[in-house]
Amino acid sequence: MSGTQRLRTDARARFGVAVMGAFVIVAVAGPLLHSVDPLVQRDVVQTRLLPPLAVDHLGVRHWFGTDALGRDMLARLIHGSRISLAVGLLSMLVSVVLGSGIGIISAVWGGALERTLMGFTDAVLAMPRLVLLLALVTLWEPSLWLTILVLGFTGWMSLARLTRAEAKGVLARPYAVAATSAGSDRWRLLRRHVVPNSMTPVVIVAALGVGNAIMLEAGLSFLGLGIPAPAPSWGNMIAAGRNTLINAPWVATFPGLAVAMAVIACNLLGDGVRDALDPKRSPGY
Amino acid sequence: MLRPIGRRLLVGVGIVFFVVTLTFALLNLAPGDPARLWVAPDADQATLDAARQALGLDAPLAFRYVRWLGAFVQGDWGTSIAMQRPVLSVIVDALPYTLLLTAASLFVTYVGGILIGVFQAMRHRSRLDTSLTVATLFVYGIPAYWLAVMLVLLFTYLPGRAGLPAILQLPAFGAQGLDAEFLSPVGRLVDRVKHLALPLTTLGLIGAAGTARFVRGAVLDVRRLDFVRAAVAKGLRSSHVSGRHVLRNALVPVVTLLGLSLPAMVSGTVFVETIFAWPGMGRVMVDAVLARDYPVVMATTAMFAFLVVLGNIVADLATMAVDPRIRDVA
Repeated sequence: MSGTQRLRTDARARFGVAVMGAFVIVAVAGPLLHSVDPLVQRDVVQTRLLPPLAVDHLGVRHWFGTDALGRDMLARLIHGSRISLAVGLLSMLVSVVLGSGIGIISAVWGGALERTLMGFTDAVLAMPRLVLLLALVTLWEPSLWLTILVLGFTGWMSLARLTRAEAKGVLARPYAVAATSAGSDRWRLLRRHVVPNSMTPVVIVAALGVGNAIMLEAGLSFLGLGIPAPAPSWGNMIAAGRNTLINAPWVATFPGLAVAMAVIACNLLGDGVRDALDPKRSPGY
Repeated sequence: MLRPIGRRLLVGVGIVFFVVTLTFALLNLAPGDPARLWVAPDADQATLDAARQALGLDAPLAFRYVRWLGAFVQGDWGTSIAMQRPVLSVIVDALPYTLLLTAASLFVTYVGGILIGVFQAMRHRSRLDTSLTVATLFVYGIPAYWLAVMLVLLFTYLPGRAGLPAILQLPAFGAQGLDAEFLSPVGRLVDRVKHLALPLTTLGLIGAAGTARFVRGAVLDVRRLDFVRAAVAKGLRSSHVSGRHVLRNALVPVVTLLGLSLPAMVSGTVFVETIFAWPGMGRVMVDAVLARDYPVVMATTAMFAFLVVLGNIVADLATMAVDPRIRDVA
C-alpha cells in the first residue's frame, strides 16, 4: 500500500479529519446553523446562567445554556471556533513562512550563515514556548493580531530544522547537482527544485502544530493575555466559567471539551500521518 | 565522560546568555516606557524625566546592557516595580515551591507513565490496552488549565456541596492552610500534601498519559527487533526477555524524552501555579506580566531558561549513563 492509501484507511486519521472538518464547517457556516448573536445580552437577571436546553423568558432555547451575563453559550462556542481556528491556522502560516525560510536559506547558502541561523534556532528552541509567549505579550496590549503574531514567532523553530534537513536531502539528489552543473544559480535552484521538493513533510508537521497553537491561544486567553473580552474565545470562556463553577459548571465545561476535541483530533491525525509515511511501522499501534 | 559534560555546560551557559540578552533587547526596544509605571498617570514631563534618570533609563542602550549584565551576573537583579522588593528575593522565595511541584510531578509522570505504558505493551491489543490507549489519548489532549478547573469542581466544590466533611475536601488555593503556623509538624506535612494534591494530579495525569503513550510505542518497537526474537529462540524465559532485553532498550528513548518534555512541563507548571495560587515562579511570572513588571519578567524568563538547560544537561548525561553506545561516541 502506498502512504496515501494507508492514510485513507487509517481509523485515527479518518477520525481526526472528520473532527477537524466538522469544526471548520461549524466555523465557516456558524451564523447559518445558529442565528443567536454571541454578544447579545437581554434581561441579564432573567437569562443569566440558564442550564443547557433551557428556554428563556423570550422563548429562545439555549442548547448549551447561558453564561453569567446571559449570553448564549452555543453561539459563543461557534464564534469561538472561528477565532480558535483562525488563530491556529494564521499563526501556523507565520511559523511556516519563517521556519521554512530560515531552513531553506540555511541549507542552500551553508557555511557561517547556516551555523549562525541554526545556532539561533537551537537557542530559541531551548526556551519553554509559554515563557517566550509571556515575555512577548508583556510588551503590547492583548489583541487578536498580537496573539497570532506571537504564536507564529514562537512556533517556527522545529519547522526550520525540519526544512533544513529536507532541503539538504534535495540538494544531494542527482537532479539538483545536475541543475547546478548546468548553470542554475542559487535562486533558480531554490525556486525550481528545493522548495517544491522539500515542502510536503513541512506542510504535514505544520498541520499538526495547529492543534498546539489552538491549545496555547486558549491558554493565553485563559490567563487574560490572549483574545480580550467580549470577543468569545474558548480560553476566555473557560476563564469566565471558573467564577461560576459551583452553580453553573457547564460554562467552563463545554469550551474545554471543544479545545480537547480539537487537540485530540490533531494528535490522532498526526499519529496516522506518521505511521502512513513510515513503512517500517506496522499498522494497529 | 568529562569532556562532553564540559562541552554541554559551555553550550548551556551560551544559551542562557542568549536568552537573557534576547529578553533584555525585547523589553528595551519595545514601545512603552517603564518609567511611566513609576510615576502618577498625570505626571508632567519633569517628573517623568526625573524617574527616567533615577531608573537609569537615560543612558544609551549599549551602556545600559553592559551595566545590567554586570549586575545580573553578580546577583543584583534589580527591584520589582510592582512589589518594591529585590527581584532576587522574590525568585528565592518562589523557587522552592516550583521545584517541589516540578519534582513531584516528574516523579508521577515517569513512574506512572512507564508502569501504564509497559503494562499496555504486555497486554498488547487486549480490551484493557485499547481502553487505556483511548484514555491516555484523551487526557494527553486536555489542556492543563481546563483539567485543573474540572478537578477543582470535582474535589473541592462538589464534596462541599454534597455535605461531606471538610477533611474530604481538597484545598484549591495556595500551598498551605491559613492555620499552618499553628499545626504540629505532622499536621503541617499533611496540610502541605493536601494542598499539593490537586496541582500534582493535574500535571501528573497529563504527563503520565503522554509518557505512557510513548513508552507503549517504544516497547512494541523493541519487541519486534531481531535480537529479541533471537533471545526467545535461544529459549530464555519470557520474563528474562522482557526485563533484560526489551525493557532496558525501550527505556533509553524515555530518558531522552525527559529532556525534551521539560519545556512543556514548565508551561504546564505556569498554568497550574496560576490556577491553584501555588506561590511558585510560574505564578510570579504571570503576575509580573499582568503588572508589566519588567525586571521580574526578565528574571523569571532567565530562571526558566536556566532550569530547562540544566534539565537537558542532566537528561543528556542520564542517556549516556544508560546507553553505552552513546557514551562511546561522545
